[in-house]
Amino acid sequence: MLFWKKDTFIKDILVLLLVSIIGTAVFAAGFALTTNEYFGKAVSGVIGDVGQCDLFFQTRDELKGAMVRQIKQVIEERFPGATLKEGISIAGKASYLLTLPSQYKNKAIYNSLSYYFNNLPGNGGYSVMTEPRLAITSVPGGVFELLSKQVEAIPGVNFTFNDGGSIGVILKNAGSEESVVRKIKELLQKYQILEVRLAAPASQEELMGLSKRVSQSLTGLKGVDYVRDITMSSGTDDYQYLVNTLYEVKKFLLAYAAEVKIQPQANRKLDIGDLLVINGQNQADLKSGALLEPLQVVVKITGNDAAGLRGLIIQGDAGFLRDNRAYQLLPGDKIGPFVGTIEVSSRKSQLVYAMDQGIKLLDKLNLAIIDFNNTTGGAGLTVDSIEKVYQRLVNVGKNLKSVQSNITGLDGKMDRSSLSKMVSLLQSVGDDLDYLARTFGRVQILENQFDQAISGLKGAQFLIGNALFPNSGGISDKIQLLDNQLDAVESALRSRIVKLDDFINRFNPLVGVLMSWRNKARDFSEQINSFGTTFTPGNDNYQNLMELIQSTDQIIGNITEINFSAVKSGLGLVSDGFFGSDKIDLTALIAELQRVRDSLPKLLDEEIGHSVNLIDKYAGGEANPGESIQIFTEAAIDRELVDATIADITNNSQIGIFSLPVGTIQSNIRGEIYKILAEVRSTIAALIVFILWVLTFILDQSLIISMLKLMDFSLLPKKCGFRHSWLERGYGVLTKILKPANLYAVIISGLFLGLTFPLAGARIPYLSNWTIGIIGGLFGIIISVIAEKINPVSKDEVLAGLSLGLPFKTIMREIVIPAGRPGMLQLLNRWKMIVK
Amino acid sequence: MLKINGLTKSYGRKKALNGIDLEVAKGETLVLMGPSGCGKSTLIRCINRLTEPDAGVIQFGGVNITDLNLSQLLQVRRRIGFVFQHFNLIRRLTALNNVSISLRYQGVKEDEANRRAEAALQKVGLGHKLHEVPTELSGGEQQRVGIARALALEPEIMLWDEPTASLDPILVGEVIEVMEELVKEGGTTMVIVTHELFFAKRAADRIVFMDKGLIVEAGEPREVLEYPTSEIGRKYHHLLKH
Repeated sequence: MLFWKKDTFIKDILVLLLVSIIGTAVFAAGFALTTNEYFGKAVSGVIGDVGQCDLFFQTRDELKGAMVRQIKQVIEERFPGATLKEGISIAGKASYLLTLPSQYKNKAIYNSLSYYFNNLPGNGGYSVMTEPRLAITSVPGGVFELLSKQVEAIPGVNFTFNDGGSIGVILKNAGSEESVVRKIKELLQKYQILEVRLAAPASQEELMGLSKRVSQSLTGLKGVDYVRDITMSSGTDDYQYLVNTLYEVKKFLLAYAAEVKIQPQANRKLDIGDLLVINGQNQADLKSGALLEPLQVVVKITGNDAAGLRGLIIQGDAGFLRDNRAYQLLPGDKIGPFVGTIEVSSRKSQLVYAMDQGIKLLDKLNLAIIDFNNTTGGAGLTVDSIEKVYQRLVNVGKNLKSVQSNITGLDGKMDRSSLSKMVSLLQSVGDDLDYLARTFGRVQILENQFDQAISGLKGAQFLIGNALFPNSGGISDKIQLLDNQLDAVESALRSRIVKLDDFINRFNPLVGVLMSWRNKARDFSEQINSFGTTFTPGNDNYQNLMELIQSTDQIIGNITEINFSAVKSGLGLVSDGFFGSDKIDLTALIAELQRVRDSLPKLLDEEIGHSVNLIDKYAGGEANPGESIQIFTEAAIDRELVDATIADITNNSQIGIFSLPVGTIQSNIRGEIYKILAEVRSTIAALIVFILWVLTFILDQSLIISMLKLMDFSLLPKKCGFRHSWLERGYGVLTKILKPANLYAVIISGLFLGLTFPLAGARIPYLSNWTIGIIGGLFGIIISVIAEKINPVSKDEVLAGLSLGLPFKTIMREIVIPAGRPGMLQLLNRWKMIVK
Repeated sequence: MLKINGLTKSYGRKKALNGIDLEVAKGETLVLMGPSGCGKSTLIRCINRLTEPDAGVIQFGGVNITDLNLSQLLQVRRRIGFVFQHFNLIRRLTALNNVSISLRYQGVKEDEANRRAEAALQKVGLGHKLHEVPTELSGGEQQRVGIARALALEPEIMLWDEPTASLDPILVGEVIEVMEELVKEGGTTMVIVTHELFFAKRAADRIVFMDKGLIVEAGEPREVLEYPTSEIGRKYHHLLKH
């Protein structure tokens, strides 16, 4: 308290410091706030007030009319009730704000906005501004849908949409933003992207292979429930898709191309890229030293692995090959020495052959079934005929027994009409038995054809199946579908064979017995017709009759044991809707096989080879080699295990594996803009503080520092009394450093910046207020060094004051400050001066 | 009045004063002479401690000036008038204010201070230039303002540090004239550093020759100028004769 009552210059300094700090802080904060207010209004002008705008359009000023017409047309056709309002124009860009009625605020519409508003004039574009809205950025394309669905399930989320590569999240209300943001953060933290950075750049093709191997290896590891390879889907560039497609085409072509295995001669070294010539459709055999001819076959060595050298035909076709002797092709198309033999397996030929065989077999099978049905009348008729035979046999049995009883009653004499009736009956049974025998024969043939079809289909399947198209995408899927259908056909055939076997096993002995009976009955009827009608016990006629009766009884007994309904249903499967019960349309299947065969590329091997080379050239040269692969998986993964697995696959334990976030949540755009504005405000405040700091130190503080230096005050005694000269020099340096002028400059400057920054709300990114204070102190040193140059003090005048016995404060107030630069110090000093 | 014993002062390794012993009686006019750099100005500035001596004792009116704290020193300085070679006027102030400022800070009321200042300026012949600032005055006038400023304090001793050294020969005369008038008036002890040989011969009670930080010869003007014993004295004698 006493200090403030005393009139000292230190008090003047403190007042100056206080006024400077407060003045600077107020001015800086005020200026920054005004700027902020201005920008805030500008932002509202640009993006509208909260909830006012759903879409923000921008185009070149001179084309805004055309853009408005286009937007209005879309509004009229698609969004009746939507309103369009002109925004502000900045730097030759006009802006418009579109407000959509609530019924259009849904996922489907927002995902289609790019369709409605594409090709706006003047490269006009739009941004979704619907609020409350969040955005999840940096989401890899491969997990876009997965994350979108999971975000949509969060309470408070209205819907999500594709916002130019980010997931736009429209909230139900602003109040839910905090909880939704929290939930989304939790969701994002559940997953991670493992980026495996390779030691050297690799081609896109190699990356695809490696990423597939890595993701397959990670799947099933302990603690790993979800793995997705997103290496190729992380980008959104159309060009990337083109390259990926080209690689798929290449795979397809390679799967279709003739595979050439090369067996080099001993001591003959061949490398990838070497060209070989083999005799093709050329007339004369090729010879070393001759030039290459168009009809010869040329193979380019494309691979060398454990299985040996592999190649691709780049001239001619596998079908042209006359022998397997390979000669090296030298530069200048000159045929070089014999280097080895080749072995060609033409997948293309195998596939066409397999397709043809399959179609033939299925055709044959179809015809066999039709033939069976045509010739036997189908299973129903077959069983009916057995039943008919049975009934007729019963009748025959009755008649025979009646004949027998008549014979006993008439002394071996029978009337002619009874005998005729019996003969007719026996003959009709014989016809039925013939039909039965034919049917049985057909069934046996059918079974045999089914057997053949199964073995044929197995062969065709082997050629058509996955062995040919290990990874060739769409065509592979189609072939796989056919393969499955052929499997179903085979399975159906097997079940029918079992039924046919059952039928044959049941009826094979019966048919034999029936045929034997038919012979007996035919002999008997012929006997009756030829030799009369005398049946006396013991004569041949009678004996034959008795045998016939006996065997008829036996057959009837056998047939009675048959479960006709079971046999009928079993055999019915064979003929009645043969594949319908298994939902197999054999005719459609044959047609499909024919379509696949017809759609197979009609390419020569050389055309395939050239195409593959072209793809390699284009994709290999145009596609940027990649240095990393990306795997999307859960965050709670056992990293050690994963690292070990990846190191094992890549055969490199030093490989860099980094965990990246799957996305970054961004608050609503308005909030972001205001956050940026707040940062701008604090930065502007910081700039103002710095400017005012410079002014204060140039105008005011440097004068005080100059005066302190002129007075040569010292905190330490000027003489140290050290004996050693270096100690004396050191002491001298220390004395200079600790001069009050220096200390004053450092402390005041540090205090000024350290205090005005928080007071003004000023901020410099990454620097705390403490750091600013320290920086202020450092600036103070600079000011101390140059103070006399900035604000010199007249030594003569000061000496005059001293000689007159004026105290320091008076010298400052009356001599130094009035002679200094006009500033706050001078202003405050006016109240203290006596001689004005 | 003023007694100096064993006064030494060094600037780095160079010894400006090398054990000066000197006494000045009350009312005496002492002229210090010697070649440039011999320590005359240092000696005179050490007397009111504008330059801090390294060692030695300076007694003024029975007070050891070298032992005084800043506050006490200020009091003593107000009893010692000092005239600078370069006038050392405060440029922003008028002649009157340059003179009155020290009075005002001694607690003299403004009117009284101005009256005394005006009187001092009248005394040096500048009564007509009270309100002119130094830049509006000639060198001689400025120096006379400086003299008036020292006189206004009514000092017990006046120290003159080569008052004419910065003036051209034409202006030197007017300053010498004022100085001689003051000497004639008597009553004020004066220690004058000057190269003005004739002024010294006329005005000094005693002349002290200094060389290399030492007093090499001292005595009445006629004695040291007519019959010098030191080399410096002989040089001045030679100058006087030619």
